[in-house]
Amino acid sequence: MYMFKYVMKRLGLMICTFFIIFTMVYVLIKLLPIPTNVLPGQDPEIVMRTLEGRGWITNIREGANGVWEYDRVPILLQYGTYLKRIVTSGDFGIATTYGEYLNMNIWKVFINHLPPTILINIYSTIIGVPIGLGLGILAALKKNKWQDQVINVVIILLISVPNIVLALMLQYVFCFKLGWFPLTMSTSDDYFTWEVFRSMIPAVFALCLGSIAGYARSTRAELSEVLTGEFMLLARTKGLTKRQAVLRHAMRNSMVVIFPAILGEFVGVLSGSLIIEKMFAINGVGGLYLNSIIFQDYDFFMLLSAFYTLIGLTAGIVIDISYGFIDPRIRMGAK
Amino acid sequence: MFKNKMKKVLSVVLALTMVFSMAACGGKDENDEGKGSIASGIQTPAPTTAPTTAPVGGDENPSGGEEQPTIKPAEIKQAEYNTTTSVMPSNWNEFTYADNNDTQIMNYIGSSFFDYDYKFENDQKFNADGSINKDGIVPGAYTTNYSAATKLEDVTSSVDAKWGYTDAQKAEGGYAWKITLRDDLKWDDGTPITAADFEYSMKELLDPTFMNFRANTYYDTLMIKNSKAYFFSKSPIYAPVVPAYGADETPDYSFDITSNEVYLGVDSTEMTLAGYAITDLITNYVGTAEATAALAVIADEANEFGYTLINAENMQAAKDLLAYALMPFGIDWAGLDAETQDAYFKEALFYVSGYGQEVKWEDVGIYAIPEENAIVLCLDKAYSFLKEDGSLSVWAPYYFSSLPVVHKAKYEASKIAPAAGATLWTSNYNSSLETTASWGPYKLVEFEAGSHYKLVKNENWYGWNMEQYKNQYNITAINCRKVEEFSTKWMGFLNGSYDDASLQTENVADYLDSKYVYFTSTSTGTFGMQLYSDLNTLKNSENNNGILAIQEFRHAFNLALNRSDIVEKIWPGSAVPCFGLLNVAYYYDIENSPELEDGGQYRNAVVAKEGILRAYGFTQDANGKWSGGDLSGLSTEDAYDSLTGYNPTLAKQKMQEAIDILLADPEKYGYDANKDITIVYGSSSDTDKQRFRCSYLQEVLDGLTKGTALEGKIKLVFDASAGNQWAEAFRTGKTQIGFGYGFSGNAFNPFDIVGAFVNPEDSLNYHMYWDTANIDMTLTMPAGDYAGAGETITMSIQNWYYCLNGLAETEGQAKTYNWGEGFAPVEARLMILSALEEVTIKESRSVMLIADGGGSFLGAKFAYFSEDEHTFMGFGGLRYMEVMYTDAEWADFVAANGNDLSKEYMKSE
Repeated sequence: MYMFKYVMKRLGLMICTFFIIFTMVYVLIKLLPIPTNVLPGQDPEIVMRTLEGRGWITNIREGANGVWEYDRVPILLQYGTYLKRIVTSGDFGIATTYGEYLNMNIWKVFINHLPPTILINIYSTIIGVPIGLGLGILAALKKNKWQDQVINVVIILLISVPNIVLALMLQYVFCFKLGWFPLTMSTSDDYFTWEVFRSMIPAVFALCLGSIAGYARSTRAELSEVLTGEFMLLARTKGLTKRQAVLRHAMRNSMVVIFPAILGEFVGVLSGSLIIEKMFAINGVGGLYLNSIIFQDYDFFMLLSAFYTLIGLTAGIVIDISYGFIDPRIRMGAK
Repeated sequence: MFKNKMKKVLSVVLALTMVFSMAACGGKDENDEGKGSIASGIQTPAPTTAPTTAPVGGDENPSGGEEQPTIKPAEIKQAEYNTTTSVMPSNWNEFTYADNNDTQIMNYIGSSFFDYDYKFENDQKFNADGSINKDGIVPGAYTTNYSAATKLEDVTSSVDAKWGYTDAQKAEGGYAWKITLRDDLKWDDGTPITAADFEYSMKELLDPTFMNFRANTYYDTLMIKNSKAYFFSKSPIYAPVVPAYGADETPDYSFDITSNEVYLGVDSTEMTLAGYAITDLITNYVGTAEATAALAVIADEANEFGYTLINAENMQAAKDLLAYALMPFGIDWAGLDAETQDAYFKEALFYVSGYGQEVKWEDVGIYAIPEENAIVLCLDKAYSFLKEDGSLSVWAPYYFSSLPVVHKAKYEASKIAPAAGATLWTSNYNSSLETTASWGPYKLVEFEAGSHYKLVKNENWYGWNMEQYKNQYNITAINCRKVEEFSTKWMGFLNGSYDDASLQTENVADYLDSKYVYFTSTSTGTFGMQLYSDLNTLKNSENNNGILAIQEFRHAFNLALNRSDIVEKIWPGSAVPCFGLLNVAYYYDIENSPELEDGGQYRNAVVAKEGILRAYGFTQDANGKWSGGDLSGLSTEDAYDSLTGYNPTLAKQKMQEAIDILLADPEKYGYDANKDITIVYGSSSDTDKQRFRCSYLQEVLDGLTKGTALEGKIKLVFDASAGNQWAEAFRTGKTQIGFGYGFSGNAFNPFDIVGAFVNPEDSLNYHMYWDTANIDMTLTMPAGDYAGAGETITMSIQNWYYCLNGLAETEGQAKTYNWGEGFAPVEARLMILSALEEVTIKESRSVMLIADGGGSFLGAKFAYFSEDEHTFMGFGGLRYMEVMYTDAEWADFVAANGNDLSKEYMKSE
């Protein structure tokens, strides 16, 4: 019950925080000058009226210095209209200056871009977590032996070499020189085919190599410490084999730190990797956020800001709650 | 002031990394191969008619439909073409498309009424086996041919009297044209296309409730009768706030200007100022710098109709302007009481009394004749689409390749009603797979925003029924993948995944001499450095950079730039040094270019070379020999060849002169010697390459000021905050250096495009503040039989420009010579153009540096039809492209090379 209350309270706070951030972003955005793409020879008034015709802005007028203005109503009133539009018709607006998606429904664009990012992220986690944990466990169990040294060297290499270099090396060696994989992700919409999966593999590895190193390092450190704990000695004296003791006691204890890190990374990577997606031509969400800022495409920016804010806040809650499942001693919210 | 004048020209930012750019077209950038790299060297698939079957001026296949085959189908390999783009298109609607990204798809899904083709010896286009007679190409020559149209007739003298052509116009001809279409035109879904569809499409394009962007091509360039009035029929009508009144009548001053929107029309003669426009009064009767500045304040805020909304911010400025305008009448504004001032002020104002009268569609100069499947166009301007012998002239495909056509059912379904409170309709036609229709040789079968698209052959294209297309278009599909990262594209090209790539900094060292690289010289892109120099804005800024307004400083900066070094370090392999405003791709006489000694190219004309030489400090002696720097006694050709534009000695000298001017009157330039001079370098994006360019210029300036009073004092500040509004940021003076800014387009009319430099009314001009209306230029016109021949004439630079284009009378210029095409000998026109170019270069506001000379790869899977670039046909384009390996053979070839074709692509022979 305490846990339930705690979760409810956190959710409530999360919603409040979300709205504060969302509102702040909206107000700040509305204070910026209007972005329009007026081409050479094009009449800015027509551009503005076209945007008005598509329902993106209202009440346009030419202000001082020939600068076109719009929405001369108080910002909070605009905010109300904006929220109403989202709630009543699910209308998040259209892209207005992000040329590649011009006039497209941004919600649809966003939804279409999400699957590749999520899939790559999931595959990256599925592959990265076992490998990372495995290496970490092996290093911990073989601490200071040659296996540990080798793993440590690999970890250091993977952590210290920038992600983009690793990605380029993978692409160059496995896609270009060896030809094992295509250079870019398949354009097929049928995501669960071998062809698409194969085309994702280089990107997945590029994405998870860093994570593997991180998991392995954390696991090794945590497990090494736990393995030296007195309760491990107790477990062994009770007659458990080393394997049983490690799996049942040492691993679970070390997971208190590692598991939330995995969750956090999983949620975080949902935002996509700009570099990896660009390099492997993945039609994901990685570049959308940055470009929405570059092009000052406000509706796009608002939607993506809301998404990432939500992701960040949710990640915080999920990580906190996960502690309780991993370690029954942890019961947050209890008095 | 915004001027709705359509030109086939778009301003381009060269240096900006416009990976996602909307605004640029024909961009000159390291990423511009992304704008459809297949297009490099590939012509729009414009079909042609074999000369042997094209009767002069007439009817090649009157009934359209299937022709009797005479050309043997050749055994020709076919394959798919794989390419990449950095930016996916989003709107390939002919009515509203934005830039070269959008035309990626448009190029393949549309067709033309007329087009160009190679000229073959003895008109023998095909060999006996059906293959194209490649060896029979006549170098540089071309033919103009019918395609979707079967007949073009000048019907000026026979159209209905309601079009109002005078007897003189009827005798002259060229105003009304009848185009008969083939009977077998179809959409890709099989729906027939008839003349009525073209009329419907034009009606939709010009629909005032849509205000489609591309309509101006037809009302401003082609000038279809009444089309502009129809398009703007919802435009506001400006009426005087104080109704006109007679001498014995009492004026009505009752209009409340505080609660209604009122406007000042500085060019209007309807206000009660004795019939004079304010602009006229200020320019011709007052003429002081203060009055001119006051005029500029209001005029710069005017809308596209020439009226400025008067509000609290500019009310006083408007009154100040009026005070100046009243001076010629002997009225001392300051001496008037407030009531009289208000009365005068009201008499100068306008309000929107309503909106334009409806123009009936029947009165717009385009209509279909269904029974003949023909369209008639009635124009306000005469064109020479036919030669005297009745055959198509070079201008028919150039100006009049086609009219826009939309698939009626799809277009109607794509319309979007205006949102509440708005007035304009919009459309999503041709922006997705579902909304796209093709009548070109290819059709769209896959499209995913941000990812890829695919085009395959359109089996319903009329061209397949025509002999002249036999054994061409051997590309079965075009697969375009969005790939932003250059390294990925490049590896894809090297492992055979993609069939083209661009020559860039990253690969130029190893591949410059590759036999797979094609250099293009038919691009009109001419780019350089724009220096903002409006003193009023500069000295009022916080940047202490009024020195930019000193011509000597700009000239010094210009001379300190080593164009060869710039090409090598900034645009290796993709540009060539350029000294003029216009590069070699501009033709002053394209029609006769093959026969002319200078190839009809403006840049090669002697007068153009002489102008450039003078602009860069060369002088000519009485014997016609040129001297400049250490050189002397040179012929025009030799002097021109020796030109580098780089003269550090003279640059230093000019710099010192500029410093002397600055220090002699620092107040005039708002200069504070205790502060650094800050010049803002504008960019659309913050990239390493852009920053390198900025630091390159900083080094140039450091070298230029070394040992002077300004040593180390000039600081360039990088600013990419304007994003894709880079041009606007520069025009308003927010940024003062625009590096890589320039123009492209309008290849066959250099006389017009020069307006982008010398006409402040031109919406493309980067330096609208340069008041060429008040700067005189004197020229002695060559002898001949035309108005003004042999006379020494002085008039404003702007006036010269308008006369050169036959617009002086229309634009209300002081001198109204018409030296437009056909009204003055070409040597006279060239002389004016050269003089305009010379004066602009000397000003050094637009410092042109490079011309588009990009190299691009075509992979070994394909080969261009011709190694020699042709003005109209490029290297033969997709239409003539030869398939060297089928898809299966290509896979084997790549595998045999170990998936790495880099050695193959490095071969020079």
